[in-house]
Amino acid sequence: MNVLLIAGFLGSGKTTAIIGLAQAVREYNLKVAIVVNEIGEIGIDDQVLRQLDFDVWELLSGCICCSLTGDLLETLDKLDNEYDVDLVIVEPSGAANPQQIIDALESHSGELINSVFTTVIIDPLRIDELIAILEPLISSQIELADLIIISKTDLASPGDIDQAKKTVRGISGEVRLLTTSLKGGLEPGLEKEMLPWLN
Amino acid sequence: MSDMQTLYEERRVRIEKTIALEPVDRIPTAFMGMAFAPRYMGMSIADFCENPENRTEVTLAAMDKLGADVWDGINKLPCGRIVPQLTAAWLSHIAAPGRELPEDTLWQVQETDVMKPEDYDVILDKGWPAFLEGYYPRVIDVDELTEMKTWVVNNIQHVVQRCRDHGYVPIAYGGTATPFEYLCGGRSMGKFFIDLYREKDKIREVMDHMLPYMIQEGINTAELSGIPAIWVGGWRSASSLLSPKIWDEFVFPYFLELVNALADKGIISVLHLDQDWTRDLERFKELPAKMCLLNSDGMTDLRKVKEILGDHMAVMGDVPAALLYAGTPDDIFTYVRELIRDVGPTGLILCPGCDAPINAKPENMEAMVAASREYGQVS
Repeated sequence: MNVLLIAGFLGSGKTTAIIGLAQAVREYNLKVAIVVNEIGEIGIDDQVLRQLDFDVWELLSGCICCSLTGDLLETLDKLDNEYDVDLVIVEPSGAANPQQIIDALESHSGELINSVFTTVIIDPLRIDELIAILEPLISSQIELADLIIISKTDLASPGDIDQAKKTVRGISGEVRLLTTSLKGGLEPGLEKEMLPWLN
Repeated sequence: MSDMQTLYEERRVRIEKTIALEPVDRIPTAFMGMAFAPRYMGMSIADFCENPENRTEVTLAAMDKLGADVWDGINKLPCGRIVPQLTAAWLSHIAAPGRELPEDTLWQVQETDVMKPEDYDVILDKGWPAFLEGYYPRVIDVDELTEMKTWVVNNIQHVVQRCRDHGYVPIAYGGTATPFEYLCGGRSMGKFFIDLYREKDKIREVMDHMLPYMIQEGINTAELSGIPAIWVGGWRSASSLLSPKIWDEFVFPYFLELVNALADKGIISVLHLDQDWTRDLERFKELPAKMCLLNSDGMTDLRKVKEILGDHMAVMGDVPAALLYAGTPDDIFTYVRELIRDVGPTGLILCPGCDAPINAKPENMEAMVAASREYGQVS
């Protein structure tokens, strides 16, 4: 089983990216499951995903954050044992430090996970606001990302996009960085950037 | 005095000494596993949620079954119906098992922006209590909330006594939080953080207005139970999330004033901190010495806490929830041994980090108890 974490703040385009990716991956005849949490953006939108006939799993959130990692692992176990999926797309809670999730995945005593890839989607129109409030969280997301997607290129000005790139590069000089609008879905080929093992 | 009363007193003194950073004969161990207890004892989560007596009795039964000889106390008194209590704490609708959810499913926080931007003005114009009166119907049946509160008033001393009957010390009951947490819960995390950027001055004004009510809530809660400690929650305001400037302005000053006001009344603050607060531990020195118990979830670096705050406040924690599900008994043994070695022997109460989750493996909880037996003895 391969795991893709898609992080990003409310309104960054995560839902669109997840739907687009799941649709694109179907073309490869791979079995996909989407794991969301009630606290997150997608949790609210999970009906949309279900209407598109995707398997959507909600994480239990009895506590606002700490129990989510255990719930995630249990869900992954279930998906592995009962559904034999190839790819699990996970939308972590907005409050969760991605390191916490990666640590939890690594702490799993089984061998169900082949790869973990982290994509962070950044809204160039809001990045400065979010950094001002949530600098440690956003920095941590960017530092741990394998891929950064700057979205909304159709709405943001070239100056906004350059500024967002600069912000990202100020935190991580090395991370792979792409820009896209996400308007109307995922650009063809972007799935291979988000899931390098498809290559 | 009966044997059980003697045991209870011995445990009470051990916990008090730990909070006062005095030497103890054994590292005290506290239970915390709200949804784990019914699952472990074969009770449906719906039955646990609907009947407050079930909550008390199944928690005590789970503690007995895991190891009555080991538990000195319970992190939080298991009193009242959990769903209305969480609703009041987080200002979010909580979907209940057996109603909106299947019988044996964990309750679910449904966080959306129930509170709207114009509600900030309502709080300022009409006051926090009046705002809440209008707000609660958006997230819960108000009769249910009232019924829960009435039940607690009428039964809390009985629940305290039930814990005593089993020899377990309730370390805290109920809680309060900084205004940040209530607003973040009501507005939803994403919306509130944007508000903080765009409506900073108004939010500061709202928080200043709210704080005295949070303080009074804490005092009333402690007076009601007679337990001189309450939770002071920090679920969304961790250092690992917020920029230092925001934390310094919207979180810590309120924490400080809240904890100081409680300490003035002799009430200990159990700082129930989710996520990682390591960056700001130095600031915690400003909190009153030996009047706080830092109760973390496995993310805050307790070695740093010991180094920075070792002569200032005790800690309660922090076997992580994920480890209790995904780890092995050996992992738990190692974690507890190293925790006691590095953070004990004074100023440590061994406890699951935050809350043992519903899916904690029974053998891992049993391993925590066994590890306490093996490594907890000081003299």
